This record gives sequence, C-alpha cells and structure tokens, in this order.
Amino acid sequence: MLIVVLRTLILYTVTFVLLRIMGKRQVGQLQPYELVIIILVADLAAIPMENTGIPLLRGLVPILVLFVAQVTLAYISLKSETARSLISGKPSVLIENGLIVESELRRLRYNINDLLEQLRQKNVANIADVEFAILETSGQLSVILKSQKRPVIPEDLNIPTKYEGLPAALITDGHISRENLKKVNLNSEWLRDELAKFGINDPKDVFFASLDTQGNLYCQVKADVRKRKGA
Amino acid sequence: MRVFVSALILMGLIIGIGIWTNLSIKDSTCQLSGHIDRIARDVRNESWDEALIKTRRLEKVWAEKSRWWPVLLDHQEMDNISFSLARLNEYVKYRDKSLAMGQVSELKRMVEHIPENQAVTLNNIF
Repeated sequence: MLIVVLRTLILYTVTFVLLRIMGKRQVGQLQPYELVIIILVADLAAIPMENTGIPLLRGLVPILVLFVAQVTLAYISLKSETARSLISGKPSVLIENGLIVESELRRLRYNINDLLEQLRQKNVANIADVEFAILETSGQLSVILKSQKRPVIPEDLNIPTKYEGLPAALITDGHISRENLKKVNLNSEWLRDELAKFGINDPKDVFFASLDTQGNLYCQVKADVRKRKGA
Repeated sequence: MRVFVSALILMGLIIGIGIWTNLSIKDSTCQLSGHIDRIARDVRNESWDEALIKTRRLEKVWAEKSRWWPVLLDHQEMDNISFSLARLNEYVKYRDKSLAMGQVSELKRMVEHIPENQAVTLNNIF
C-alpha cells in the first residue's frame, strides 16, 4: 500500500515538473504532437502507479523520452518554417473574402454545421458578416469580420484615449505585494497612508487592493472585517 | 535553447545508461549461466555434495548480482528465478536427479531469457 502511495507521488511529481517545463498551452491550444504526448504520458504514468510488479523506471524512462521528443520537435519547429508546417500543419482559410472555400472544407472533412457552430462560439451569428475565417493549426477558428460589421473603436471616431496599462495588485488576501509596489515605484508606507484614507488601519484587513495606471486605488475589505465593523 | 540542450543531455544519459545496463546484465547472466552449468555437471555425475555447495554459492551470487535488477526488470521475472533456485536447492539436497536436472534446465533458460528480453532486436522492438 505504502509503495503505491510513494510511486504515485514520484510519478505525479515527475509528470507535473515535465509538463511545466514543456510549456503553458491549454489543452485546446495544443499542437497535434503535443496532444499525443499528453495522452501518452497520462497512460504511461498510470500503469506503473497501480502495478507494483512493473519497475518504476519502465514508466519514468518513456515519459522522459517523450519529454525529450517534445522539446526537440518544439525546437525544430521554432527554427525551421518547413519543419513547422510539416509538424504542426498550416492554417486553413475556410472563408476567404466573404466566400466559403468548399474545397478546403471537404479536404478537412469539416462540414458547414461545424463552421457555423464555431462562428457562433465567436459571437458571429450571421456568416455573411465574415470576411475571413481561418482554422488554426491548434483547431481554433480565427474570425475576421467585414469592416462594416466589426465593432466601432475610438480610432474610427477620432476620440483620443489615455494610456491604459495593467492595474498592479498591491494587496491580495491581506498580503502586501512588495514586488508590485516596487514596480510602480511606491512603498508600503504610502500604501498604509492611502488605506488610512479608507479608514483601514491594518493591511491584513484588506481582501484585495489594486492601483490602476491613472493612480486610482481600488480597495475591498475582508467580509469578516466588514461584518465586525458593521456589528 | 537551455531546455533543448538539457533534453539532449538527458537523452544521451538515458541511452548511455541503457547500453551500460544491457552489457552489465549480459555479463552477470553469463556468470550465473556458468555456475548453473557446473551444478548441472555435478548433478549428472551424482556428485551431490559438490552440487549442493555450488547451488548455495549460486544463491549467494544471485542475491548479489540481482540486487539492483528489480529497478529495471519485471519483478515477477526476478521472483520466478528466486523460487526456481529454492526448488533446485531442495532437489539437490534430497538427491533427486531427474527433478534437479529439470530444475537446472528451467533455471538456465530463465536466466538466459533476461538479456534476450532486454536486447535491442527487431523481435523485441515489435
């Protein structure tokens, strides 16, 4: 029993670490060769986990070899355009200049209902609004609307806009992020002064606080502190 | 690039250790086979005392050689050899020639099967 626990922990750790090194893509965005590796690794890890008669190395070595193969293929496809199109394939244009490319749909065995479904998922109800639809190598559909159908942006109306960067999270669950404070050239004394303006004496009472690029501080006090103060 | 180079080094290590373990297993099984042949000769000649000493020596050699084998080989395969060795010991002790000869033959086949199973051959790959 204990052996199974230890083997599970070892295999989980190795698989977890290797998948972390392999990259940050989500399952829906995996290239075909990456998806194959995920499926194989899952199976390889499960067998020696439950069968103690099989040496652990019989599971670990193939997982390591798959890791090497994945890293090698990713490196080759990074360096060579030809290899990239061979390994990952090429994006397919399904709608070109507002016309559905039937030959491409047939070649990909992709029916019109699949296309309409993917368009609806992209919030496009009318296929007539689409200028280009491209099926990416990851299986995701990219949609480019006709210029008259796309949402209006400030540039179209000549409206000037201010710079909008990422708000910096300064306190999360009562913990001050000194790293983020340093990034925005501020310190914890400044933060305490600002919190005092909200009537907060202890940063530990704050659930979340962030500072946007306009210099506005957003602050939410923890629910139990609010309840205590209300009572 | 760093991950790629590390992956290549890892692959080199895996292949290197794989070759080394195959050679090491082959060498160890050759030694074990030699011991088994000597026991077979004694059993055939009914030199029971000699055969018993050699069987016990073989048990010791097996325990020593096979210490790290379970890391690489099927545990069931290892257990089968240990059980076979225990049976051979008893057959030799009670001087049963036909059973001892049969057991020696089975044991030798099992030991020889290990490197055969690990060898890089088309049969094993497919």
